[in-house]
Amino acid sequence: MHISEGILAAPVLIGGGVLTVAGTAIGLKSIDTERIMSVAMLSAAFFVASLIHVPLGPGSIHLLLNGLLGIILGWAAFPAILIALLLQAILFQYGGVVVLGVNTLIQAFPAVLCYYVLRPGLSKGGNSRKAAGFLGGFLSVFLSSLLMALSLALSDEGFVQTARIVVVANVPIMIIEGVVTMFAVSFIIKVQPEILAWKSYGKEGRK
Amino acid sequence: MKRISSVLVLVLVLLSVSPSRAHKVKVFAYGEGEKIITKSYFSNGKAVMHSSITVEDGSTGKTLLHGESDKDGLFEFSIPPIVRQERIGLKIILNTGEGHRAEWLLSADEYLEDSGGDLQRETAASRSVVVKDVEQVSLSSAIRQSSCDEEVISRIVDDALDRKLAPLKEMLQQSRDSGPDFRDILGGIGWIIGLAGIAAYVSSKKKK
Repeated sequence: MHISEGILAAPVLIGGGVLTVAGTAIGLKSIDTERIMSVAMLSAAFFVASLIHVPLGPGSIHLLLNGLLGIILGWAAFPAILIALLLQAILFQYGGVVVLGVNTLIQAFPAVLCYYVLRPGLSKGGNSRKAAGFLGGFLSVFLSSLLMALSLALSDEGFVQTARIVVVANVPIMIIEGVVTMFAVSFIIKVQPEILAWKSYGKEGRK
Repeated sequence: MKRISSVLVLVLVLLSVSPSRAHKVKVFAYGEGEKIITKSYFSNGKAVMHSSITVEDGSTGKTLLHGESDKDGLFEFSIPPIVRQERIGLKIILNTGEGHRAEWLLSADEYLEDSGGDLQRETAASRSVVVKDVEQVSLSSAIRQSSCDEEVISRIVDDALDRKLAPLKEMLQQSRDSGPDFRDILGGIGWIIGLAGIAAYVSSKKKK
């Protein structure tokens, strides 16, 4: 989910950039020394996930994993996604440096939203944990598609039509993403429950 | 049973809706005789179908014409007379409408390679062929004709080369940015871990 350079209007680029800087600042503040490695690992997972294309029918798809990042990292999803997208832009010319702010916002904002909405369900366990995991993957991709359509619409093309193209194109990814996030979350909680625990010890992850 | 059926539904949904998706689109154009052909594809090589192509004047940005790629990602148009006369460099822009956009610059030299005196040369060439076939040639005209033959041959060679090289140019362009390979991906992960290391170092300094 990358918007190429040269499509968006300047106000959209600047607005996206400003919001991303703000989100990244909040995210960086929430990371303490113990969490650096888990942020980096999830950033790497995000970086790799969108590079590996799984052929499916006549086309191919890839995972986004922004929901997983959001649920686990909260605001720290902003710097994690920013770094991954920056590397993709520099190494592979996916997206671009100028649109980096908007692209980060498109994927990181839904992630943070998922964190606030779904975290309570996640800590309950059982079926509500599974539901929260699935919704985390599903909603984050859905919201990302909407944000992407919105930023395209603000620049140029009609919102409804663009939204339809982008959202419909992403429906299979939403479903797969939901399932993958559901399993990933329950696996992580089983293997390493402390990765989710940072918030419950107090604000900003301090123990 | 319930689980199996839900998996089945999932698979069906995935198979029915499977748009071709990739990170990057590319557009590539080349001249072939009187026409310019553009080819649009995703970075994985799949054709970009039914997407809008805009042809602009490369220097002024004035829109010259619009079109849409067909199901093989191809779009062809005949070179407009103004463009030919003024030897305008063309900028071909592909926009898929979902945030993907690509450009290709086609300079006048590339698509007008030999069409400057195209018509005259062609008629001269065909005339010389007729001359050769019908008349018995004298020595002096034979000399003249050998120079004509040279022209004919060079033109034929040019044409053939154009035709043969077009797919090759395209292949080069495509291979230059085939998707990231394993090494690139590992490199990216290395970067991230390195950055994390720096962050850890800085934050440990701060604590002291």
